Amino acid sequence: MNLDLHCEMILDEYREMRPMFMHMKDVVSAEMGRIMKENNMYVTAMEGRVKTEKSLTGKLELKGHKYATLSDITDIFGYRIITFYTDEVDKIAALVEKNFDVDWENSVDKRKLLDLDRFGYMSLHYICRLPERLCDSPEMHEYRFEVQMRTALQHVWATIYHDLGYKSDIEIPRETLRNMHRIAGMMELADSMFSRIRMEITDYRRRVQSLVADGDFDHVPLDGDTFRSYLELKPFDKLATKIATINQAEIYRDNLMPYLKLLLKLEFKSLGDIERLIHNYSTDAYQLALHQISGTDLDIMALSVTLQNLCCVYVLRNGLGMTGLEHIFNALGGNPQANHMRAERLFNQAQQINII
Amino acid sequence: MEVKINAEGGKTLVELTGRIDTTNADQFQKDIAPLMQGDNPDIEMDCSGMDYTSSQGLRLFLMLQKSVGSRKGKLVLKNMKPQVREVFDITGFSNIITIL
Amino acid sequence: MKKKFNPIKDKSAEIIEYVMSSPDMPSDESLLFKIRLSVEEAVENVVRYSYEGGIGWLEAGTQLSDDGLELMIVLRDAGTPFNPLEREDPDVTAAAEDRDIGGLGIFLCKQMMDNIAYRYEDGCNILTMTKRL
Repeated sequence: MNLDLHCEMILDEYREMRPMFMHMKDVVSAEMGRIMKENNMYVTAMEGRVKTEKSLTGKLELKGHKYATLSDITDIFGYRIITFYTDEVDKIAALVEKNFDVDWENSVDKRKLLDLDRFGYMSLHYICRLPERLCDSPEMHEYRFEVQMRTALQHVWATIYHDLGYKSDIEIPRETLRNMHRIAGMMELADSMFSRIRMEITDYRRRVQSLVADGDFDHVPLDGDTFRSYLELKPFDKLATKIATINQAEIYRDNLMPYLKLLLKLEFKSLGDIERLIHNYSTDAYQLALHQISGTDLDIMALSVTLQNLCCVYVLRNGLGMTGLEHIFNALGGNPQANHMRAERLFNQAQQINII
Repeated sequence: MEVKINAEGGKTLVELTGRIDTTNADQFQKDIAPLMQGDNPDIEMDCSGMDYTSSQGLRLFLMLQKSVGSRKGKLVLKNMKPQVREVFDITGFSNIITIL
Repeated sequence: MKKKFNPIKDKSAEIIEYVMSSPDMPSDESLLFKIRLSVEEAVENVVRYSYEGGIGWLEAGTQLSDDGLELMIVLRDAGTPFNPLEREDPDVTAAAEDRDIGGLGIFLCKQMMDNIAYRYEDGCNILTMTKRL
């Protein structure tokens, strides 16, 4: 390493200040964690790093003359936040602006656009200072740091770009650079597609919720989102309470989502179909439970016993017989042999109460 | 009621024999207490020797399932006799606990 | 502002930089990125394919709308007539088949800009790309 005296001085200052930067990293990491939590932001990754001596030496060799002192180098400590969606970059940027002192003049310093890690198309960089309230020494306010915000896809792009090994984009063959730009364009398109998909899903859920709330069940197709909203109306509680009364049993509210697969297999298409299942088969389902449970001392039951019995009597009433029952149990899991015996047992019970 | 606990590899193997009912549910709870902790949460229970379980038994299986789940483990009951299986089936508990 | 480059062989970097350093360009980096990507694709296309052997001229210019809300980039050349917006060019020549801008390039331009128009006038290809600022 052949650094001139000027750069050696900067390097000395770095060695002296390194512990302060490490402390700054801890303070900023904790503060960022707090901010994200407080604002319910959920991101892919947050990480901080203090530049290594080796990396700084490299930077000084290339353009040490540009910096008068260490404090002119704003990325000795850098913090990075990687988000899922493009619009979250903006939200986080707003939070950073609110919680740190952003050095606007230097955040848009054109000179720095030539630096590789400033290659600004693909991420947002802020040069920041810690607000006084977070500083325990004047140095902590004096030295700036850099916050980089980008989406996961932008991060992939930037990481590969770095991996190509060029120190700045003027070194890169034009064709390669152009192709990297094209990929950046495609990443940007992909990012906006992801945002659009998320928006569509949010819209869909909102629409479904309002249809469900209005009781417009025939217009709500059965899927994971709609079934979940439907379950919030506790549609099986009436039957569950009735069954529980048999033995004064406690109802354990288990998750009914696994039944979605079975309902779809039974070709239920809308929430209206499930409403009809409840309406038309609750009596039989109750009779089945009565036959099974009365005379036992079982005083706990799972909420799912309602849906289980409804599906069983539905299959039997529609002439699908023992094989139909076996299909139900296999769709719910377990071993086929035990399921076969279970179907046989249930089929006999159903015969006794004239469901078949 | 007898509970035998063996650690094997990353799994805990448990052998259950006899009945779980009002008279011995408390004992059963004590017997399975070691399974409610530790960082070896994958449990496989051989139920081939088990003759009956009451509601108290079901509650304890549920408790164990929750404890195992919170430690990211798995509870599996195997080789259950038909009359025991029926108790799990008619209460809907076979929807909650994995029975192979 | 506009400027005529002649000859254009191996001059694409210079032409792109000329357009990108126009005072009409916005300062927003995300917008700049989209514009640069499109300018690169469009300029590169003319430089590579418009003239046999790359011998010819290209006039590049930028202009802001009166309200300052829209940036227009115009590229004019006197090479082989070619409309990049048409999937199948009736005058397809062997060279035009290689025209990258008919594929990924034009796709990206269309996505990145708000409007792209092509016309052939007085023996010149004129490509106009518009971006709302």
